[in-house]
Amino acid sequence: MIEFQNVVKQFPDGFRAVNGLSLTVHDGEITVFIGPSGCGKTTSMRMVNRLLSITEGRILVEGRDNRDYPAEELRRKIGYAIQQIGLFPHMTVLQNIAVVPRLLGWEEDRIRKRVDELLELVGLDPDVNRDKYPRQLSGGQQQRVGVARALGADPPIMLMDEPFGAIDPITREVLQDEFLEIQKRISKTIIFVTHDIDEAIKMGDRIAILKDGSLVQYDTPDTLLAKPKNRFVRDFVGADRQLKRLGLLRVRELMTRDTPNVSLRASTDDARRAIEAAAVKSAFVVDEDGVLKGWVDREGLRENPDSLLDAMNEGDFREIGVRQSATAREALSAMVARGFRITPVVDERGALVGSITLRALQELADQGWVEGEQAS
Amino acid sequence: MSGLRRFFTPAALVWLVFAVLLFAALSVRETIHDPQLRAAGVTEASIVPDLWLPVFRFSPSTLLEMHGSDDLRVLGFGLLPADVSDSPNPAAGSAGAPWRVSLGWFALLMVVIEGLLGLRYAGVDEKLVRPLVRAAGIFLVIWSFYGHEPFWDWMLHGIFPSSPDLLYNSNTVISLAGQHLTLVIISSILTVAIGLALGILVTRAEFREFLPLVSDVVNSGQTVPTLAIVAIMAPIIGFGFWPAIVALILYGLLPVVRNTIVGLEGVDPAMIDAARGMGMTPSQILWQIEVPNASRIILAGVRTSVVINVGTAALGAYVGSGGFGNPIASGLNQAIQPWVLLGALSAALLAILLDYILGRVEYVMTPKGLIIER
Repeated sequence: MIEFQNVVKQFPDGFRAVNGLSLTVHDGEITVFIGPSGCGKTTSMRMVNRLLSITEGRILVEGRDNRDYPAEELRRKIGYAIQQIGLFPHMTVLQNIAVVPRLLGWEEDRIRKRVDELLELVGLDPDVNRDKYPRQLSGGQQQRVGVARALGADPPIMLMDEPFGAIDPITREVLQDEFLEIQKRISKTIIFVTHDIDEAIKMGDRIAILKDGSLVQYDTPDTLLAKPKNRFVRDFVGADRQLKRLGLLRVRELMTRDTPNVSLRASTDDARRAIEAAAVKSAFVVDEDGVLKGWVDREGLRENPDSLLDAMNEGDFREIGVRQSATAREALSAMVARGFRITPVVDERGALVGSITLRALQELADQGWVEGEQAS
Repeated sequence: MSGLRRFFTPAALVWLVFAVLLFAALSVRETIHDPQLRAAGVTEASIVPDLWLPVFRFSPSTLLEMHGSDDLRVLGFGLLPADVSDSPNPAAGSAGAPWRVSLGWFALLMVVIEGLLGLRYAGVDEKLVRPLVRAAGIFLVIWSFYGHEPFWDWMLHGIFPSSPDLLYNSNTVISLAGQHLTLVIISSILTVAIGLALGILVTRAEFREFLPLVSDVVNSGQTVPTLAIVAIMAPIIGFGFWPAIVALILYGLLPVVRNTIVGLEGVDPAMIDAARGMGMTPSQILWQIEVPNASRIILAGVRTSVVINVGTAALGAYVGSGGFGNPIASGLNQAIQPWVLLGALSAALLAILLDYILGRVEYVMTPKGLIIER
């Protein structure tokens, strides 16, 4: 746990970069510091491992004032990854990752094992990459090594200053996803600095929005998007914050499970009854394994009253359905693209498991919007 | 077959050609024209030298003297017949002394060494043994030529056929080379030590305010003519070895200090930030991160400084520090052109040789990760 208590940072020229910051970074969570340039996010982060001195207040690291530790000892137990990566070009990948373990005096065998383990963790083949030099790696690979190096001595805490900032958008997405997967396994306490709100929403368990050295709002991404505290936060998170919020929610959590559906073998009467019973316009058609095959609506049944196969609209489940693991935003996108008010939800085999409606998404957004307006 | 091809690396082939040329030249005997050599009884000799191994020895007059093979005893090679004396003209190279090895055989030895290294490191990216072996081989070849008076006699006679004087009359070429090299080595070691220390010091945060001062002083060191520094130092320190050393240090400091500063300042700040953030101490950051990354630029400065020093050291003759400046100064005084040329050629050859060797050293000492390409 890291606790900021009324932390102030004043530079020699009188500029107050951080002005009375108080917040708690919880164990095992990614806490994102975000805000416009000059808001003090990086300064705040750099005070944690004392790369910058604290003018007033204090920062508790694992319950102890961080000034009670010798600076080097403190830094060795806090992983550090930066945007410029800062790999040492004269050292091999192995030597780079081994820096902190060597500073801590680990034995060579243990270091070697650890390095291989970390390379595998960040998705690099140890046998191929161990003895390469940073110049022989691509930008994305370098940043993977950068992350591995920050994890070198298995520090409980990590500081990451825009670690994926200098990487092309596609690779960045991949690295973000991979890092989230890694974090699921290692559960580090992480302070993650970024200026990219999308990255913050994606990576953060909690987001601290800073402005002029002060904390404006500190909440989970969903709360932040649903209930921005004031105009500054609302502007900062963007006009599309409802969409962003939908990006946080999984279809699995929003869908309704009792979706009107009929078997391929059923009669048109069965289909009509199912539709009427549910008071909807259409029903999904599934085969004997429950795999989505298409849909049938009232109009189709009227035109082809004899055969369900003729009345239904066929469609591949990959095209007309969304996966349970998709985000609500993707479901919305699917509905907008196809002009439907409802979209079926399928599992990995394509079996229908539920559906999600446009109305449900709207209600979700309304809820947040209204409360957000009231709060401001 | 492929083994044979790997044995005859380009370097091995060059040594082989060189060896053949040396053996061919060995059969040609030249008449000696220099009066002193003739007086010593040498009237005819081959221009191909025998191998001269350099030996460092301490002597009271100069701190360190570099000699030819007449001092092999010092290192206990056990090869030297006891009767070889320190005569001013052991010209003699090829006369007598049956244990001496003709340079042709040494070149053949180098063929074998290069070939074996070629086999040993075939296809391997090796940047330590091979460059150093080659540099050492080339140094020994040049050094052997310095030690072979008949070679210089032949060359100077070829250029000045009518001159009665050829070789410098008060010292052998090899001992001039020893003195010159001693001046250069001692002054360079001190220059590098002082220059590195200054460069490192003024790039530390605590002493950064001295950076302009130091670079001014160092710059002015090079604007003052060396001869003037030598002349000023002589009354203060006295004549001989040390005033020349002081002048050489002052003169050679600029490239070392400047390149050290430029090199250290050029290290990516993000790298240093990462190093601090990982918990390296300032001295660990300096020696494990900053210096290795600046090494290429620093070494380039050292190389420049040493080469400059070879030329500047010739001026040491005016305060009696010896070296190739002696035949130049005496030759100019007495209008004996072969002496001037002897000093100038030998000094130039030494500058080229040291530049080559330092180039190799620079290559060896630059971290592989900084040279490597994708």
